[in-house]
Amino acid sequence: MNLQTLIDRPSAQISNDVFLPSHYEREIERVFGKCWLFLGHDTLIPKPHDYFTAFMGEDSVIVQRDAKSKIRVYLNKCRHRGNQLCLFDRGNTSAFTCSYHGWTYADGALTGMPFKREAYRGELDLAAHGLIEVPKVAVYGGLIFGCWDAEAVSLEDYLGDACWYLENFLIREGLELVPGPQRYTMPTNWKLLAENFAGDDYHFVHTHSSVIQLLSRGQDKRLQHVPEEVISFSVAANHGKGAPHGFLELRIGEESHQMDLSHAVTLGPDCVEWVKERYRLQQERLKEFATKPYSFHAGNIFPNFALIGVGTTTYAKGLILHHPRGAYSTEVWVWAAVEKTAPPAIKERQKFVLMQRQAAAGLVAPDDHENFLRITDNLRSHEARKQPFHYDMALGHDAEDPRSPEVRAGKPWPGKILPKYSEASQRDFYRYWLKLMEAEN
Amino acid sequence: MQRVPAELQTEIQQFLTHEAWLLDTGKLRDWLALLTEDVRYRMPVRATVGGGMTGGTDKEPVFCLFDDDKKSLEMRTMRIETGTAHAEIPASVTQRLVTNVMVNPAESADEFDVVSSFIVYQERLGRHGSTFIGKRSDRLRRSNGGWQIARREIELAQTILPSTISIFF
Repeated sequence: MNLQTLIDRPSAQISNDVFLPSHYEREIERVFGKCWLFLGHDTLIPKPHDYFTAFMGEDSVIVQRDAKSKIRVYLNKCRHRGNQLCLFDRGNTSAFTCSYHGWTYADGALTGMPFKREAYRGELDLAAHGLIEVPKVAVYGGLIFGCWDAEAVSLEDYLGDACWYLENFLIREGLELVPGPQRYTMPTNWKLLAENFAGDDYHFVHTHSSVIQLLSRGQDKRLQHVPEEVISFSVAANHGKGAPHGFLELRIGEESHQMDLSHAVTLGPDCVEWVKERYRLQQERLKEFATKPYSFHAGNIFPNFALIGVGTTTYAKGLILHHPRGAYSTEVWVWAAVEKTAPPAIKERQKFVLMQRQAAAGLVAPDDHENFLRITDNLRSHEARKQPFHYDMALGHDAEDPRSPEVRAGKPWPGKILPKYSEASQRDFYRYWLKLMEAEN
Repeated sequence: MQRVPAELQTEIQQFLTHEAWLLDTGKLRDWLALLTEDVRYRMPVRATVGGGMTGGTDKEPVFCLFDDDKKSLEMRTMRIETGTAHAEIPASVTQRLVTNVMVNPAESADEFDVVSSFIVYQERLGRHGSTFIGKRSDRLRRSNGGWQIARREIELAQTILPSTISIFF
């Protein structure tokens, strides 16, 4: 099949064939085998030999600090007969022993097996049979990423414009991961979930209208986090030049800080002080910019690392992974990251708000789930699949800057700044996906 | 195992059966009334933590699927009542089976610790079904001749949920 026909560039109609099971294996190889993938956070493994298991695409990997505390990532597969070595979500061990024949590995190296002399007669080259190691691993503000492509650009180059957003709005206070991600199944293709976080602020008002209604009626103020009348933008990072990361609800103005303060007041004087100091540091850090964004709220780092809750101090930073599980199924992991410097009452509230909102049993995610379930039923059937998806919103207006002259004055914010409602980031998502799928190798 | 009088065992089983019936028939307000004002309703996530080849259940503080008080449970109920919560349009068909009920006295004479097992089948759109299986550890409190739930700790058998959750357990 000619992949080029899947995305009709001038009119941005995206063929439903991009979700076909027949492209899935190639996608795992070309997208998940080539891109930097988020694995977890270094606060999960503070000491030598601490480990956690993660997924890169469908591959189980072990993320472990070695004896010298360096973070290394291994394929969770014994070199002898392919058995999984590590069976736990996390732990600490200096060696992994395979349950089949007992081959044992320490810091990735094969160190021994039963009857080494009798069975192998000293002819087995242990050094050539260490665990398969992910060639590129990088830690960015505690966030651990891995990449199977030894020739890939550095993580910072891959993030590109996104660095400024992550640095200033996500990792600025330092993050601490709450043990145990939520894990649930979404009955749809991972791309529909990823591009939703990258660029779909448009769905919020209708899909999540039940939550908006409750909050506007003043029910449970703990969950309120968007000030009324706030000005916000969407962002296409690396627009036309690299991996398409997207950010939603990049807010400006004082209102967001005021809303955070209104929450802090109910939690105690130490919380008020912390929110004020956090804001002061933020203003200081962004002093070169005429207009200082308060934060973005949601986003996606290509391909499958989504973010939520970044725009509010009382919302945990949700680090979400959309692991592909076939063409029509995604395993979603939601990690809660709280801010290291926050007082305990803020950390507790951060966990609570994420859990109540964009989480497996929250007020928000189940409505997304329902939409994707219905969409996926239509992806599977013959006539329905012929009808492409529409990504035409404001097509041809990408060059327009949605900011007022005062807001865009001075040193520019990185990336392409888009109106709140835009599909430009989603178009970038599929164009880049296609580019990876079409690459020679 | 501590034994309680058969009459008490029956009374508590009847209470849990009634509770399941309220949830299965969508009487969420009546269900809420069975929870004390100071209720704590939790469902922690599961993780397997190991050292070498032995594993154990996660005992340290973890992220939860539910960690609710009465106010947030009421918020969840009100969301469904808006009529615009897509996850419950049309309303799910649910069938709860509650079994293996063990009753033990708690510290106060009016309270009992009750462990029960459950299976909840949820049907969406007449073609998509999810099953949740697990156990609940409840603290039940006598109130006005009836019972109320003061604490509920839910432990799902599943680590990877079959879907998101917009129902109660």
